[in-house]
Parts: sequence; C-alpha cells; structure tokens
Amino acid sequence: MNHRALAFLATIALGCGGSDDVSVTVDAADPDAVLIDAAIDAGPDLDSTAACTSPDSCAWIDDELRTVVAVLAGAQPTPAGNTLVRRASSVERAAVRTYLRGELERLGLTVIERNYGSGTNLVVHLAPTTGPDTGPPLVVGGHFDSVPQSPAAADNATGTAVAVVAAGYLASRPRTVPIEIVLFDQEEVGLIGSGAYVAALQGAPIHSMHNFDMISFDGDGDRAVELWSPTPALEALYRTHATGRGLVIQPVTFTRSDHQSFLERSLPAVGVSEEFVGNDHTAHYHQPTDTLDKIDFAYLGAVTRLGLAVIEDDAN
Amino acid sequence: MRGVIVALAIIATGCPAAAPSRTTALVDPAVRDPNGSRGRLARELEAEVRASYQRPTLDAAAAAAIIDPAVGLVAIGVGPSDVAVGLAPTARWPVAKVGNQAAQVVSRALEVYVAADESLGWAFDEASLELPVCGRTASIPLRVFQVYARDADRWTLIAEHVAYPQSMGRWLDAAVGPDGMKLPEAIERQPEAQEARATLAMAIAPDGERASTWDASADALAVWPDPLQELRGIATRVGPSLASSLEATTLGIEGLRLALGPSRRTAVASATLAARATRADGTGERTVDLRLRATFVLEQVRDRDGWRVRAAMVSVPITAGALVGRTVGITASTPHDGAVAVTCPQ
Repeated sequence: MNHRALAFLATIALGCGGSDDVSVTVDAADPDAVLIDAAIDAGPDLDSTAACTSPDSCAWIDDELRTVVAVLAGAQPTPAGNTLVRRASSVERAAVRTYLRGELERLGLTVIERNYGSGTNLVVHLAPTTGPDTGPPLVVGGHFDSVPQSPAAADNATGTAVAVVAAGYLASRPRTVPIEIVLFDQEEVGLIGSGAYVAALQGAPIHSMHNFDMISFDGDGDRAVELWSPTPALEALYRTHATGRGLVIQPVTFTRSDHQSFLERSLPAVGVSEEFVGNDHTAHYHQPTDTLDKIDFAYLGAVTRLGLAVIEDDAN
Repeated sequence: MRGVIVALAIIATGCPAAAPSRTTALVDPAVRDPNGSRGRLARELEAEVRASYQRPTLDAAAAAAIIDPAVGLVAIGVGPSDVAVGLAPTARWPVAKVGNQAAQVVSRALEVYVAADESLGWAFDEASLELPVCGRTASIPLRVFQVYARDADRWTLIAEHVAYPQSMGRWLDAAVGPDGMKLPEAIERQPEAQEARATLAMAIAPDGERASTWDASADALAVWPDPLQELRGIATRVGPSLASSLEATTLGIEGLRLALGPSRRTAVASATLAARATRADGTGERTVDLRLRATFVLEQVRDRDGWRVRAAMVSVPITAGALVGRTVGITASTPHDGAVAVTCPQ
C-alpha cells in the first residue's frame, strides 16, 4: 500500500467515530498504522427480506443501507475480510463489484456482469410476476464508482445502497413489468456505464428510469428530496408517495448524473438526490472527508422507502 | 457526479504546408503549462514511460482491466514475429543482452501528449538500445511509441510499438512480399468504435480525405517508416501521405484491434496494413505486396461530428540479426530469447 492509500485509510477510519459498529485504534508510535476493529455485519437474512409487504414494514432496509454504505466507504470490511479504500481505479472497481455481487447473491438474486470495454455494470433482472418478460424494463440505478480522492460515502455509496435494497425488496413484490436494477460503473468519468447500458438498448424503449445519487444530508431539516429533471408522470408519482411521509418534493433541472444518459435518448428518467441544486447538500462532496459518519441514515432510510414505494407503484 | 471537463480544441487552419521536420519543438499544451492539470499528468506520464523502459515485459492484465479485454494489450516489436496480442511480450527489445551483458534502453527525445479529456496519453521517443560489444558501447536507434490509459490516478500502458526506422527506397527494392504476422481482428463492440474504424480507413486510404480525418493541431503526429518522415502539425494533412511514402497504389487496413479509451471519446488502434507498391527494376516494373504495422491514437472532436487521428506510427519489421549487422557492423548469431552472441576481433 502506498503512502497515499495509507493516508486515505487513516482518513476514512478516523472519520468513523459516529458509527456504532466500528471502532478505530491508532498506534501512537505509528499514526499511519490504523487498525479497524469492526463487527462484520452480514446484513439481513433472506427470510426477513421476503417477509416485507411494504417498504414501511421492512426493518431490514435500515440495516442493509448501513452495511452497504459502511463497506463501500471502507469503514467496515467486506465479508471476505477486505477493506475497500476507494472505488476509482479499475482494480478498485473490480473489488467493489466482487463485494456487490456477493451482497446481491446473498439476497438470493442472480447478477449479470455486463462488460462494455473500460468497465462493467452489474445488472439484476427481475421478470414480471405476471405476464411475459418481454416488455420495456423499469430501470433502477445508482453508480458505485467514486472520484479518486474520496471514500465517497455520500457520492455514491448511498445511491448504490438504495439500489441494492431495491433489488432485495422488489424481488419478492408483485410487478407487471420487468425491473432491472443496474449498479453503474464509471459515472464519475463521464456517465460511461449508463451510456453503455443505454447504447445496448439499441433504441428499445424502457418503462422508466429511477437514478439514486447522493442521499446523505438534510442540513436544514426540511425533509426535501430533489428530483432531477423528472418527467411529469414520474414527478407526480413521487409527489403522491411523499405525501404522508413528511417528505417534500423539489423538482429541478439537473442532468449531470446517470439519468442523463437516458434523457439524451428521450427515455423517461428521473434523478433522486438530496438538495444538490438547492444548496443543502453535503459539504464533503468529492472530498476525502466524505465518510460514513457524515451520512444521515434517517434521511437515507426515508428517501429509500419513498423510492421503493414509487417504484413498486410504477411497476404495476 | 461527474466533473465538468472543458476541452480546448486548438485547430490550426490555413497554414502553409510545412516540411516534415525532426526538430520541431514539443508544443503540447501540457508541457507549456507544467503547473496545470494536464501538465501534471504529462509529468507523470513521462516518468512512467522512462520507468517502463527498464521493465523486461508489459502487464497485459492491467491493460485488459482498463480497455476492452477482447482487444487487450497489443505490443509490436522490431522483428517480424514480435507481435503480442492480449499477452505480455516475451521480449520487448530486439536484443536483450550480448553474451552475458545486458543491453539498455535510453530515452533520447521523449515527447509526451495528453488527450483533451485526459483519458489517454501517448509518447513518442527516439531511443537508443545500447549494447556492450567488444569493449565498447554500440547504439541502435529505435522508435518507441506507447499509448496509456488513465486509470484513476495512474497511467496504464495499453499499446506499445517499437521499430527501427528504415529507408523506404532501399526497403522497397528488397521487398518480395508481406513480412511478419497479420494482427487478428478485434474491434470493441460499440458504435463509437465502428465510427473510429471508418475514420481510420479513410485517413490512410491513398485517395482518402485527410483534411477531415487527421488532426492538424500543433501536437498532431504521424511517423512513417522512413527515418526522415516524422510529420507534425498541419503536415499530417499536407505532407507526404503514407501511401505516397510507399509509392503504393493501394493501402488499407488488413488486421485491426481497436479499443475505446475510458472516456469513449478516445481510441487506440493497432493494425497491420496491406499495401501494393509498384517498383521499377532492370526489366520494367514489378508490383510487390507489403505488410506494415501501425499504431494510432484517435480522438473525438468536441462540438463536431467525428473522429480525428491524433497520432500514428507505422513501421516495417527487421530481424534482430539483420538489425545488429546493419547498425553495429558485426555479424551476430541469430538471437535466441533476445541474447546475441558475437565474436570480437582479436
């Protein structure tokens, strides 16, 4: 491990004081030598995911969100015992894919790796529970890569965790359209993974696309959820399900995330985020300090449940 | 969220034809602004290129992780059979050692370039392969062209092309047919890759439209097999074409391996090219079929529709034995694993 990587590891670990699951020891004689003593949280079991009948009745969602964000941000080792430091280089992203694939398979899902040259998207395809598996898919996405200089807990371990939870939840729910949960690669270097996914559609339509990117912060406590460049129909769905959850929908025009790849092809899409345009977003965006302890898990859990309710409605 | 990358396209137009030059100053903006982001990337690339010369082989697995693994690393060496595809080359240099003394590769005129979107970098060098021979150091001039992809915070080599420049008149007179192996075809299965391929075919065709296919910015580069033909800037469009440098009536892509760069706005292509040249001999004219090896860097032009060739190096092979005989002036045994045995005069 080079010096820079050690520095990152120290930053990540030292920033984890807010986590209940992780303790950090720094050797006074060698401050670079940081030991992480983390209880390995294996996440929810399959029985608990199958028992959910609505997002609001699923306690496992919170555990899974925390586990995935903690592992991706390097605050908790993977089940194989590896600590992820970043998610930028090809080697790092391959390690992340290994973890995510294992996590999805542990939820009983089949994962398809779609290599497109410089990267690989992970795809879970859920066939409709009624009717043929031939219609345009509803796509749920979140990018798992990061910028090089950040552990990227907010951007976008949170959105990746939402997508993983969505896969686990939706797999046991009725649906009349196919659903594809896509963990996109290489968003940070130009929406490459989502661009490759859309290109592979070869002009075929989709039902809709829900992109989750940065759901970590609500500094002013207004419970606002930003919708990036939503179609009117998708905005209406989110407004409907936000009612009664205490969440406030804030539609804005913003395209610099994976939903842009779909909008460019005139495919219906929406980005779901904290108030990035509204300027109530994490101060640690693309910084080494974007660590687990900065994540507002209550906000993440609420937005995740909103997303799941919307997607379940949209899929029927 | 992706960062906003602002690309500056510097396009030279309307300039008078420039004669091919070996002494044109390096004008890549990265070098002009050493403190800028691209300047830092260029310095890292330069260090990586120099370090790479000391390595006995290349990392094919690293290349396959950053570009389409179906295309993979392509390493073209000096000899007719020195072509490695998707695998580490067994020998990068025509001579690895003389007797039991190791040869060394020394950079003499390294130039580094960084793509506008910083996803690819490439380097051209006139290097010396220095051989310890009979109590002195003999030097073999080599051209080295390398292409790297940016992988987060490091450069990863994805293509290498090493060649000995040869006078084309003499080489053509001796040519009797295609020499060296043909590259097996592999083109990344993306629409952009097919577009890049079409641009490349047009760029090298004898009747191709060079104005729309070759970059003409100050750091455009085209290196033909002849030692006198290194074209820079606008000369890539108005200087001697590859076909004319070979006096070829036909010239086309024979085997192509083309992968997009990480941003998909850049591409690297390694190819064998097929040409037919007409040569005069004592009894009239004869036609000869030729095979050349080539490495290209292409870049998509922002705000325009299409690809441009940013850099190219084309070469013809020579066996290590012939190379040592020609450049060092001694008769060398047929190299085995890069090791040459020589008999020094008493």
